[in-house]
This record gives sequence, structure tokens and C-alpha cells, in this order.
Amino acid sequence: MNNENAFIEFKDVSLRFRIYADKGITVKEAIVNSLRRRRHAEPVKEFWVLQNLNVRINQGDRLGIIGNNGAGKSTMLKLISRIYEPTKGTIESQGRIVPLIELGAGFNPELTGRENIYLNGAVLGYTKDEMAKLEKNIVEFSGLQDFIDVPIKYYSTGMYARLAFTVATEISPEILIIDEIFAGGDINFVDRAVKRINDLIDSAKIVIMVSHSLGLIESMCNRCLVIADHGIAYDGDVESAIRFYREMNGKLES
Amino acid sequence: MIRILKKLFTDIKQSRYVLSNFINQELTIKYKRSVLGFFWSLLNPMATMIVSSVVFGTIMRFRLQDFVVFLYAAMLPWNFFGLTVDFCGVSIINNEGFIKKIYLPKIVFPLSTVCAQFINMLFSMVALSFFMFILGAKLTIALVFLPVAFLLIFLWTLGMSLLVSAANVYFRDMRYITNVVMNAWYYLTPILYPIENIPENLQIFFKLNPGFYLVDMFRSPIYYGVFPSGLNIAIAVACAFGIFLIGLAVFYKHERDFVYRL
Repeated sequence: MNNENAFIEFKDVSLRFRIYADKGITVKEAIVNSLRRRRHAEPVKEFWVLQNLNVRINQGDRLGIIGNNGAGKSTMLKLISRIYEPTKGTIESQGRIVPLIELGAGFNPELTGRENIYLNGAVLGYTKDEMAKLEKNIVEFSGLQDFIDVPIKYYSTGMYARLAFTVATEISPEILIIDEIFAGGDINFVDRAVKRINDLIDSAKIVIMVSHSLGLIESMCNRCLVIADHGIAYDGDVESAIRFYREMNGKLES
Repeated sequence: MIRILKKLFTDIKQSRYVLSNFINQELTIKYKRSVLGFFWSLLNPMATMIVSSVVFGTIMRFRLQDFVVFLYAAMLPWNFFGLTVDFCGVSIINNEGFIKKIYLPKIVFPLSTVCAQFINMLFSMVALSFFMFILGAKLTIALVFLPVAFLLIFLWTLGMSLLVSAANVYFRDMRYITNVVMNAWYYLTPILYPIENIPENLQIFFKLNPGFYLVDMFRSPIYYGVFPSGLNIAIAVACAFGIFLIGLAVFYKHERDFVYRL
């Protein structure tokens, strides 16, 4: 891990979504359409999810993002983790980003638990040697010693979740992205998992968290964004952000 | 052009661990839980060659001497091309799970398939050279040309694979079209037969096919024991590099859009 300060900076970021009513057109249709000179025969719906976002997230920030359903909170996380590229504007960042959005993204069911540890590490940019150092801890924490050399297609959902969670949390990210806190495994595991997440949040340089649980945001964050109307409606300390969010929704209801 | 090559370079550098992991997976999963494991990569092509040498040599009594060497020298590289393009057709679509959940340079998906298949072909080539050794083929200086031939077929296949994998995201029936096209292309390329078998006035059409030149890069040194002609090399190089650059440019132009189309 390098000692440079981690940061994420959104500069005039806008993202346009295109929704295709029908998944793909066929070559045949494309040819027919072009012959008929109907260029826009494709059923496309376009809309701006986020517009002109300008925000800088600095080292030490524990940023909560709140907003109504469909406001673009998760989309913002996906922009940060580069799954979406902005239609306009740029996002600069420094620091290794680990999204705890999709646990077990990229697990291959044919591979054993151990092989998947390395695969998952590689996906996140870790070398084999780096993962070898973490392997023992991962196996131990997940409690899968007896099953670690079994292809994970034979795992139960809980075992799968435990492994995925442990791998994702063992590697110490500089920038941690969390989309709703999840729960997997039995009570025994959940308790340990919560402690582990807290440790991880303490050690990460930046934490960005989306949640509908205002209590959780209040207890974990030191800065909060309210997303509404395709943009950042409020940026400030958690308490006033939550107040702003409540008032905003109160007005909407009345 | 320099920009896309630079991007390719940074993409590969950035994703080298995941790339090697994917390649490894593609090579080994196939043989998981089989006793001989990876050894099949060598054994399989050898067995096929033995079978076909028996069929062509003793049953069908082909005129061409060492028909098997003649055939496989051209067929192995072309099959690599055909199979890889077919596999790559779905490489973006099948990895929807990755693309929607985590950032990886998209080129990792087709590139890992191309590399894995390329390694498979190299194994088959080793099997072929064993076979040639048994048949008592003589070693010629022309064999030093082979690394160039491998490079050309790699670039050619990568370029085509990138085109097809990108096209599949937009047109889901592409896969079936490629299938038919690749099949026809296989028979229209002088692989099963030497170009001399084609009536002279039709040969010109067969020479419009880039496949002819690419196959010649292998068949001339391996079977005939001579270097390909300068003209043929020039055409093969132009086709391979051309398709590679076009494929890369098209892929990079559209990769940002893939995630919305899946």
C-alpha cells in the first residue's frame, strides 16, 4: 500500500442511461432498417441519471450517500468503481478501490474455494504472492477449512457468502465502497462479520457507503451527501444532511 | 493508432494477474477431474492425427505424400482461428456478471480466450512435430520462419475475435452467422486441398482470401520446407496487422457502451 493520500474527484460528471426496450436487434433487422432508411427504428429510451456532479472526497472521509429510490445512489458508486464511465466529465481517483457491492462477483463455480480466493484477488488486482499471504487467514475466518478444496458449486448459499465476504474483507482496500450492509451466514458469523467490517472501515483511507438506514449512516459516517433531482442536493455533516433529507421528503409528501 | 496501442498496453499491464488467471482457468477447467489432466492437450491432437493418417493413408489412398503433415500444418492454425472466433463471440455476453459488477478492462475477456486457444494450438503443434519426427520428415532452415507465422495468426485471430465479440453485444444473432461464415471460410481456404487442385482460371478468386496467405505461412515451412514467397509474406503481414488494428479500434470505440447493452 502506498502512502499517498487517497482521493476521488468528480469533475462535472454526467451520466446518461440508455435503456433498450428490446435486448439487441438482429443483423437482419439492422439491414432491413438501413434499407428502409429508418435509422432510429431501435426502441431507445434515454435519460440523465446524474447531471453535473462536482464533489471531492478526501482521505479520512467516511461518506454516506442517501436519497430516495432511483435517485442514483448506487449509480454513483458504480461510477466510482468504474463500472460505468461518465458520459461527460471526468472522475479522478487515487487509491485501490474495493467495492463491497457484489460479493463473490467473479467466483467461478467450477473452481475450488482456494482457487477462487486467488481468482477474486486477481480480479481486484492482487498478485499471487500477495494472496498467498492472505490465504490462511481467509480460510480460517470463513471457517471453511474442510471444504476449501471442493468446487464451490457444491457450497451452500451461506458457505458461498462467507467465503465471498471474507475474501472481500481480508484484502485491505484504500477506498472501500459499501452498498447496504449485508448479512450472510449464521448468527455466529454475522457477529464476527460486523466486527470485521468495522475494523475495515477504521483502516480504510476512504469509505463510501450507501444505505437507507439513517441510523447506520449516522453512526458510521462523518460526511453525508443527499442525492436528489439528478444531482447533489446537499453535502455536509451527517446530522444536517439527514435533517435536510427528512425535510425534503416531508415537503414532497405534503 | 498509437493511442489504442498504448491503451492495449496499459490494459494488459493493469490486468495481467486476472488475465493469467483466466487463461489458466480456460486451459485447465476442461480437463478437471480427468486422470491425465492437462496432458490431454497433447494427447488429443496426436490421437486425432494418428486416426486421420490411417484413414487418409490406407483407406482413401490419397496421392499426396504425408497427407497428414500437409493437412495439419494448415488445419491447426486455421482451427485455432475458427474455434477462437466462435468462442469469443460470446465472451462479452457470458461475462455479463463481471462487467456489471466490477471494473476490468473489457479486452481481458476475449484476449484470455485467444491466449488460451493459442497455447492449445502450440501444444497441437508439438504433437504434430512428434508425428513428423516419426514419419522421418527432415528439418529445414525454413522452420525458423514459424515464430513469425505464429505471431501473424495470433494478431489476425485477436483482431477478428475483438470484432466478433463486440458485434455480438449489439446483434445477438451474430453468433449463428459467424458459425456459417467460418464453416464456409474453412472450405474455401486451401486447407484440405492444395491450391493447385483449383482450376487455374478460378485460382485468382481463392487468392483474394487472406486465409490463403496465412495458411501458407505455416504450410510452406512445415510441409514444403521452404520459406513463403516475399509477396505472400507481405500480404499476410498486411492482413494480420490490418485486422488486428481494426478490431482493436472498433472494440475500444464501443467498450464503454457494452455495459448498457448487456
